[in-house]
Amino acid sequence: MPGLLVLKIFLGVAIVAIAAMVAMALYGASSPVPQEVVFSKGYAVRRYWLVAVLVGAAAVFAISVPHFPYPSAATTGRHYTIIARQYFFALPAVIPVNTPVVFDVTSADVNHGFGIYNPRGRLIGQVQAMPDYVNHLPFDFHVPGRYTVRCLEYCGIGHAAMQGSFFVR
Amino acid sequence: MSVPMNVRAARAIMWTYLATGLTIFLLMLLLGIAMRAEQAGWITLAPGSFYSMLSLHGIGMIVAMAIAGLGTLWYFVNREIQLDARIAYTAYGFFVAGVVCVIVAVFPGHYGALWTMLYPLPFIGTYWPSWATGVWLIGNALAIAGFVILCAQMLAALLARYGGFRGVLAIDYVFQHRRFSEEGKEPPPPQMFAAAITAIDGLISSALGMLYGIAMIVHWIDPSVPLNPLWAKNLIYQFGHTFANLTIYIAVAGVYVGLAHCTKRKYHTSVPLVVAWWGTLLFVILAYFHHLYMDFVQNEALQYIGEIASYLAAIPVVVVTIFSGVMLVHRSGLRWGLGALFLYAGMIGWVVGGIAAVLDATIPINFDLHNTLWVPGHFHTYLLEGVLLFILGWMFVQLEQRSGTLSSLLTRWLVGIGIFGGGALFVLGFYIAGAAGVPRRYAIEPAPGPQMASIATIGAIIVLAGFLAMVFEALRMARLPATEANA
Amino acid sequence: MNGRLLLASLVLLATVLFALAPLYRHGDVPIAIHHLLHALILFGAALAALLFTWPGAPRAPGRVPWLLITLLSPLAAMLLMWPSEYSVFEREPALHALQHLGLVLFGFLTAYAGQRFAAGIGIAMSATMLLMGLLAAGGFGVSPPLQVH
Ligand code: HEM
Ligand SMILES: [Cu+2]
Repeated sequence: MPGLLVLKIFLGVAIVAIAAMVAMALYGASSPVPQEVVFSKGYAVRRYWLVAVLVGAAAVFAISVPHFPYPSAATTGRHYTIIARQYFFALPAVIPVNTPVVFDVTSADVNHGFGIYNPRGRLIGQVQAMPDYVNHLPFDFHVPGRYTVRCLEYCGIGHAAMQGSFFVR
Repeated sequence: MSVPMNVRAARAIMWTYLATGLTIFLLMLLLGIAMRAEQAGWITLAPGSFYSMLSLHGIGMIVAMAIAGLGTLWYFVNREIQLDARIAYTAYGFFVAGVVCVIVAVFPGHYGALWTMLYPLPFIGTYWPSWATGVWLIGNALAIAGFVILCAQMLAALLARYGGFRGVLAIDYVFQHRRFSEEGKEPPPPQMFAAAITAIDGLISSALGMLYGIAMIVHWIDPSVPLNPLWAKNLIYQFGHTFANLTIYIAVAGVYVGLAHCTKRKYHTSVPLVVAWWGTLLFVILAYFHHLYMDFVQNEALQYIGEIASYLAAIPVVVVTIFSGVMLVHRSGLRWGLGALFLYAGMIGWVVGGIAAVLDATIPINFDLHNTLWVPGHFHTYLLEGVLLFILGWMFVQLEQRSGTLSSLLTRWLVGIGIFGGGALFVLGFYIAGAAGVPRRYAIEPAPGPQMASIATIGAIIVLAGFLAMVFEALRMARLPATEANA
Repeated sequence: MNGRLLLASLVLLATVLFALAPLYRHGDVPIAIHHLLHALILFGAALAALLFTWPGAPRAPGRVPWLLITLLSPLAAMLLMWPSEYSVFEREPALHALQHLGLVLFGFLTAYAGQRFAAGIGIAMSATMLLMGLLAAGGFGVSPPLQVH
């Protein structure tokens, strides 16, 4: 899910939460009531609150599962080997547009990250590049252009400069 | 009436831990500002310095919060059953030795493989000498040992006081509620669940942390011993995530006691509270799988467990702890001294950071946010605007109680704007840059990183100002004469 | 001698006999399996110690030295499982048996010192030690299986 959308959701929910908590602290602050009064009402509300939170969490989980980025038995596509090392990537030059591909990502030394940035500079997906392991990242590019790859796992002094690029055509 | 010896000794321990933790915090805060200023392009550091400072800042801050919170937790446990002060000082010695080692590893040693020390990074292509790696590893092991000592002592005390694990976890209280109360028995007070969960999860995670530490030390001495990189990741994240997470649950004990005190209401143990803590006990040690979402070779079932456990870890918090805290304050007529202000604001920070965390714990979202600045965004929210505030809140509750006064309105505004306002600006810089895909742990960031870093640096400097104002206020209150009841 | 002590002695005896296995059986065991077998030794030794001390341990938390012993023994056990030593042990079964006896000692001490410190702590520390021993099989001196591209 695009980061900026997540940011909007976050800010929206956070502002509601902050407002609610501040309101609860200020409302009726000048006319205190005994603890039992607040708690008997509160416990009644809490039941619904618990149900709401549980249902919400279950719903989000259910919605998220089909969008998991992991390869499955049904994953097909042309494979491209990606080898990360301190501090550069061995990348293919061109990836076909609108074609399912699979990146086989590994590392020749320490842990790195393989983060794909679209031509507008937005992060659109990633996978770790690990020594001794190969991670398979299925992807399908719909927009042609020059994509940047950045390292997304701290790998030493050159980490921030570790990048590469490929074209989608 | 004079204060009994035991209470005096316990207070001395609590204040020693608090003062040590907050001092380390202040030093790490300065490092934090320097790092953010470098990312903003305001200053230039020697190559590598950023990562060495980041290593120290990351571990130092977490340990600072743990030390500050553990002293208080120890004090609370000691109120229920007398503890041997020598053990607390032994643990303190381990903590201090660990911190000294870690500082030496970074400041002449230039160690720079971060708190994660992901195998095999500390050994390959390093810009620091090998001894620094060793000293770093040993420092970590010493700090973990200090933590284990406290966990074992607190767990032992709780087991003795409440009758084994069954009593500590209040099993009978939940399952045989009627008989339990008919027999006139009392469950442990809420803050003892914080202690129990800290001790149990702390022992489990420390074992994994120690195993990782030993494996790394062995590899450091004997490079012919290979480690499995995926296994290594699981161990270090299990330990690191759980330990950082536990700092919150440690500090929350201060909320239970402190808010109840401010509002003159009672924070009772209830069945939902106990069940909520059981949930915490389990989910806190499982949630760490979200650190490995982008390791596609990790067993896929564990990825599902990671998302579920991360969600479920949040539920006891929002349904029980925070909810009860809000009820406690609601129409209680409490007077908003700095103590109450910090405790309440800390709950808000915890919730806000938690929302950001839950979003990021959703795998399709994590795909676009993993290892971006979003991550420091969420954890700075609930560490800086949560854990720290719980600790400061409890500290001020005591200072207010002791002197029988509250801070002036002006002081409260100054400290409040500094720490909450500056803090909000500081974390917003992380969130916005992270949402735009700027990676974390970059000494030099792509756009819009530097612009956001400028705003964040200003926010962080405001936090520093607020923090210093808070320190002066605390020192002022500590020097006031004690009211008679507390002499 | 009551039943509990008898059982404890039997468990300890069985563990020691098992620990001496390298003297009379020789095999080429992968390191991961080795770690698991060692975890078994640690388990046996700790169990014996728990049976010996059951339930007579003091109720309130005790003295610092016991605490330090129960804290350090699992670490010593892990260090004893140093993975590159097996190439030597293949030639020197006696050393291997000695290493196993060390594991018996540290496993026993973890549980015993823990219980002497306070009831329940020996159990908790033994459990975490066992966890470490088992998890060691996942990667301590163990490389992942080679991946096919
Ligand atoms: C205003 C105060 C603070 C400032 C200015 C600050 C600054 C920073 C900066 C610039 C980073 C690096 C972000 C990146 O590029 O990845 C960072 C990381 C971090 N900070 Fe802070 N920080 C502050 C408070 C805290 C507190 C209170 C804690 C914990 C209690 C904390 C714990 C950490 C940790 C664990 C990391 C991650 C280290 C890593 O990536 O390995 N910080 N902080
Ligand atoms: Cu990197």
